[in-house]
Amino acid sequence: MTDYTILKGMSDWTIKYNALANSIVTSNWTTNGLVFVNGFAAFSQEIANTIKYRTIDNKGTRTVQFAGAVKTPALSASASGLAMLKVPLSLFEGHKGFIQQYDRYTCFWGDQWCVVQVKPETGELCVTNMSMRDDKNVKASALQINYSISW
Amino acid sequence: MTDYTMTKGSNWWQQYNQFVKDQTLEISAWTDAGISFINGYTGNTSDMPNTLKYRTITFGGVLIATEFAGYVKHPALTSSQGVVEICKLPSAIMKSAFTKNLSVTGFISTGQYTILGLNTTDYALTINLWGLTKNLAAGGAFQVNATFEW
Repeated sequence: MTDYTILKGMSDWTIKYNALANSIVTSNWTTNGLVFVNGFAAFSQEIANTIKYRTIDNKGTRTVQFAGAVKTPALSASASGLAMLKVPLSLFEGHKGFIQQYDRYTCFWGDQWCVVQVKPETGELCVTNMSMRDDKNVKASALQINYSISW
Repeated sequence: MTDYTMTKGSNWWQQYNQFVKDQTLEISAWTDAGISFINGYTGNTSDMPNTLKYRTITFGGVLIATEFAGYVKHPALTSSQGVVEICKLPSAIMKSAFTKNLSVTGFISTGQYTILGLNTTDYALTINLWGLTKNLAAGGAFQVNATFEW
């Protein structure tokens, strides 16, 4: 547990105070550096709610949150690990290994399940078709993402 | 409510230290300490760095959330098994209180979904198999991303 205690007469108390004051740093939501690929696109029907990301740092712990919608092309039943967009690799610098992937499971418009995943080594945000319908092909539509990844 | 106000000439570090004690967020390291698998479930033996782990989040020293991540291998599964305990857990990482369950859906294979939960009287992570529509052979690995908040 981090010790932020300040004692009477401590000469370098500002170090303790600054460590506490900067222990949680949350960035703004942004689209900076997002590059859509494979026919996926910004959510042009409502661009204010197109996909964005932000980072939350708590000392050595980083969380990258994604929220917002993506326009999706028609996808085949076998679409698996297909990149939707690339995010800046700098988001993952210094963060490797064991992760929690929060709210991976979502639906295309039309209630067909899918799973999203980020690949920190390539910066790709990917989707896998998990439709349970008889016809597992997915028409062009949109996808609301509420996914986060945490080290 | 505790008064953290500093005033000119006061021993201001006392208010500061009380504020830190009461209102500091601490996130533990990921660990598998005290996880004991039961009912045929095991850790992710083919990729142990990504086996099931947990971490706790405390605010002012009070437990406010426990997060789970990583993979578990399952035994043969049928929906009639209902709610089953996957593993026992340390009692200190949970509370027997009203709980907000987040990201508790687990996909075992295409179209086969489950809901993860905590049993806070038996100190266990549970899996609800009623959602299965087919039987699954033993040995598959599935990912846990569940968080429980109090």
